[in-house]
Amino acid sequence: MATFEQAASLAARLAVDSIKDQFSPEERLEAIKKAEEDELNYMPRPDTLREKLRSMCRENKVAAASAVVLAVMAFIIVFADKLTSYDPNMVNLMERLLPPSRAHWCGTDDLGRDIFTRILYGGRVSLLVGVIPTSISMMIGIVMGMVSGYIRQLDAVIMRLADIVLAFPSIVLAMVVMYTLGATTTNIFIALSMIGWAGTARIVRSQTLSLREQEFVEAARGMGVKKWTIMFRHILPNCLPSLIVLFTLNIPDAILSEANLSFLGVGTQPPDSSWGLMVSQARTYAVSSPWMLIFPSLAILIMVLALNFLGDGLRDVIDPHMKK
Amino acid sequence: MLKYITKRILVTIPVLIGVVFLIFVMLSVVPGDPLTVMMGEKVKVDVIERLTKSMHLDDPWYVQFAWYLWNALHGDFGTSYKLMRSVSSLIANAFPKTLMLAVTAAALSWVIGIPAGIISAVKKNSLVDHLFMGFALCGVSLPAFSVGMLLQNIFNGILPVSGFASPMHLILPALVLGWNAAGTIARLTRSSLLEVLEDDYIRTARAKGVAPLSMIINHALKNSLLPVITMMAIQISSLLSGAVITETLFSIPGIGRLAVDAINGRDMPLLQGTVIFTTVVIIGGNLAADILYCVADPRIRVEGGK
Repeated sequence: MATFEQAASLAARLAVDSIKDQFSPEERLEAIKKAEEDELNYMPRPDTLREKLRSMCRENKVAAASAVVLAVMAFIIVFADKLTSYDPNMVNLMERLLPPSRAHWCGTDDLGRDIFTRILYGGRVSLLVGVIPTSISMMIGIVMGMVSGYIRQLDAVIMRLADIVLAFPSIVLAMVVMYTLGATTTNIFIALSMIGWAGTARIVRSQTLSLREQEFVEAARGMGVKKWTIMFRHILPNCLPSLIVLFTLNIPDAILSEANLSFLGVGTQPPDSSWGLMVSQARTYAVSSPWMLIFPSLAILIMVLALNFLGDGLRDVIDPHMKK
Repeated sequence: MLKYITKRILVTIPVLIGVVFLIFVMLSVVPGDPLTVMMGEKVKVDVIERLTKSMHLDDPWYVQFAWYLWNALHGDFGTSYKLMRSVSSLIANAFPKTLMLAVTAAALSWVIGIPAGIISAVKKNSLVDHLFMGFALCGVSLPAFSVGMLLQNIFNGILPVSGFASPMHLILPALVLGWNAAGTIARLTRSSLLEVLEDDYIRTARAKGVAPLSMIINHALKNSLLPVITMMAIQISSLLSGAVITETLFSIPGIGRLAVDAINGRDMPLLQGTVIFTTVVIIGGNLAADILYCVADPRIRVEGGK
């Protein structure tokens, strides 16, 4: 047997040598390149995330514009103190309920505070409430969803838990949590995170379920890679595209929830302001001083619309099959 | 099919118990003695003793939970601390108002949302499409109270802007809720119809020379409305569960308003009762949606019946 193998390897070496003699190194290099090109042509490389984003900007002008609008809004909100000379909480009863003018772009409210300034500062709360609870709830949702999809013994328990959370009308559940914990901004984060994770968990679970059956996961399992490494190093990166879309679409929900909570009096507490709180404070004056109502509403509308457009655009290029 | 429905119903039971448990635990940790909330500071000792006993307040929490569950199964959610009436009767009183509002809003959203979605899909990327979809997105992107206050502002003096005395009082709140719901329905109808319109059988129908209108109504719509039906059932249940914001803004004494009053008055039994009731309505709505879907789409039946 050994002699046969030796003979075979000798024959192979001889064959390679003869080819080497036949073709010059340049020719061989060219042949390799050509083979590589053929392979590339045969199996087109899927677009990278950056390429997808670029094609979105090219084809979906609305989404691209939304991204710009969001960037500008974020800039204005972050640098609010540099952009306006008014103090958001300074009461000036001499100037109460003034209509929009050159001095007060969006008018003043019932305590004579500049509404434009308050929108800039209130945007900080709305933006934080949009981003932080969404991030926390998505992290919880990712872990729950992956555990549920990969470790099947825990699937039923986690999914029933998600069912319970999803069964509540979200605003009522948030109200109960705020009532139990007390109305502070931190507790808004907690309340919204407790509610938001369930939706993410469902989506991540369904993706994990299909990914775990694929060959690369099987290969990793065969090589003895640990469970948690497979989940976080092999499966999670493949869920990322749809998670990015989900993140963009979850932020507006959180912003609207905070607005609703503030309207009911269990959200942001005065003298702090958020856009939702500003609108609800306009309630008494909505007829006589409509600017108190219109400008904060516009701020919410623009931000939420832009996020929705961007999310839809991202979904179209990144993950066309995903449904909200 | 019957097997699938039974299975679906059985699965909801642990969810229901979990919901009641969660609400019970969350509200039990709230600081404050229920009797103080109920009667104020000056109460005779023997009254406190009697009430503590009859309300099982000195039992451990799991005994209290068991009593609560047992009573709830018999339709007894306790007595409101503030209003001194049984929670069930308060809910029974408030629910018809919420029901009327929900039905009006839902009808409005279907009448507007479905045709708007169909027109948008057929005239894809036209001016009409962009207008309709922009309108739909605005309905989803504004908080309900913003829309409500704007409408109150515009129709002030033309239509009643608060209270619940006549059918006229329903118009504005139903518009607020209906706009939001119509936005969702229109977007869903559009995307689902667009998907179906690319199917092979539609191309076949077109090649055979079916008239465009008949093709959309007879061939495409039937299949594309499936997800819309589900969404409709889910929306009805969320509307029924109390449009908390809209009811508060328009002073409609419905379920949502009851929940807000309970929170503001720290009225635990009332809050527990309303939250559990609304959740049961939502679970029921989702169940109905699943069953409807299963009736409408045989494919689900086969998979689910396995």
